[in-house]
Amino acid sequence: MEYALEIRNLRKEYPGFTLRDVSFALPPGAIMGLIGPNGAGKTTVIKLILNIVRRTAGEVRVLGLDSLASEAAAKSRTGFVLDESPFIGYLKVGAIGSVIAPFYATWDAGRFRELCREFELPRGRRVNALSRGMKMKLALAVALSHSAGLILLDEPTSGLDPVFRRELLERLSGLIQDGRTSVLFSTHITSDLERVADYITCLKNGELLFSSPRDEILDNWGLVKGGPELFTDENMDLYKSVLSGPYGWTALTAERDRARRRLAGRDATIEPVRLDDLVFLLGREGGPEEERTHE
Amino acid sequence: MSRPAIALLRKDLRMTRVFWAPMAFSYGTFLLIFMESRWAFLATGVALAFIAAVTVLAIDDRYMSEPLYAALPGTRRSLVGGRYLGWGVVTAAALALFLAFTALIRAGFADRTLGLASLLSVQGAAAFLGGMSVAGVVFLPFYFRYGFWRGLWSSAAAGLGLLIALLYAAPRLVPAGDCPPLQAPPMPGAWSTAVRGFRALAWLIDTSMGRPAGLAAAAVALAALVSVSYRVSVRSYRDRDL
Repeated sequence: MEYALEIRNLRKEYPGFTLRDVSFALPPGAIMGLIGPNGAGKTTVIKLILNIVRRTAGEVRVLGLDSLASEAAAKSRTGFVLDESPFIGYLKVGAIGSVIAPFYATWDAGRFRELCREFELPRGRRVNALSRGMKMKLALAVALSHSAGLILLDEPTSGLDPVFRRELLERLSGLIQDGRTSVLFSTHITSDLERVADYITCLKNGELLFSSPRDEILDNWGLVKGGPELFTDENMDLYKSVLSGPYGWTALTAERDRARRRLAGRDATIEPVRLDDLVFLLGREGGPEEERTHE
Repeated sequence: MSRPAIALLRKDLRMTRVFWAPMAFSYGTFLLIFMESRWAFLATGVALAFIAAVTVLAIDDRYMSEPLYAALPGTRRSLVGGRYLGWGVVTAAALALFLAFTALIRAGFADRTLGLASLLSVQGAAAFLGGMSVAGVVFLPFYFRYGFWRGLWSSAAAGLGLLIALLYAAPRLVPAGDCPPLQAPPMPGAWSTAVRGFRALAWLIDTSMGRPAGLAAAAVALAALVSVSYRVSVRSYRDRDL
């Protein structure tokens, strides 16, 4: 199967941070959400795919093309939105299209104009005069104007009002309907993922925690709530993270059914997990053992 | 030249066109100030052309646009190619402007600009091109290695080092007795060395540029320098995180 994006053992070493041998794959016609706490390595992954930063090791294939050996071809089929607006501030919105167009053989000026109109971007206004949300819309218009097969978005919904955020997510869902276009987007807003993501990839401290279909995560992962007697050594293999609070203990498990069987009759409440709980519990420093030690 | 290199050049021209008229006006004004000394006139012309060439890089740095260009279709090598191409285009445009202003100033102030006549020649154009090319050859590898500001200061330090070395070496290349001005007026040691060096350098340029063989040798040396500078830039930029 030719993946839209295939990452194998991707590694980047910075002083004080290492992205450790991350591997995942995004099938064509799917949306993948990249989640994780601040500093997890989400932006680094996106920059590595685009060769904005250089990898220490590993392999990235975009639509079957090696992102280094066939760099120009791979990038010409990739649309992207970076976390910061990189456009020249004194240029007008319309001029941004003219500046970017020569880089792409497949640039569609009509489509860019149409998207500017749809996003209510005044073509005569200077980039400096746009709000953060409007700049994000401009970056999106650029990303969607050259028939890219892979769209990479770094925190695209931050700074957007709820109405446009909803529209954007619907647009992303619409994009993949052709079965060829795929989207990878990083976000802190987990409700966005619940709405549109087919796959979820989670990073923490530069390490891949999981990369799985969303439904599989929501079906298998769960929250275990109860008293401290549920969190003894014999059960710790069930938990990914344990949190003690004034109203009892909460643990995250990746094996809801197994936890249900093991803890049957022991006054445990086992619930499906929401993505924001999952990110919160996984994002906390320290594993289950550490939490118990603190207690 | 590859498509991304041309695209980068087109982007640069589109981005800077708002500055062309003020730059041309400033160019003429500054040249007027130094019209009575051909060396100061030439140095000012090259310095202003250098500023024009780095303006687009400064703007890209100001708006942190480099990651954008690196993410667009193309390779780091093609971006380096586009920057060198842009430098060449600015140099050519600045040379045309320089010669035009020189001719205008010469026509308007004939009695005060006798020295400028020698600049309106192949040798004058070659000196201008040489100055701009050396500036680019030194600056661009530092720019690609360190980014705009650090690159600017590092290349300025390197350029100064190169100049000092040239000023020390030049008097030794002048045959004894051929260059009377080498007897510098009495001044502190370092200044005396600098004045002797500048005079010897000027004599060497005047003498060698007056001969076709000298011009050809300078062109070959410059081409080799550009090639080395380009390779160093590609290597530096290839592994830089943006």
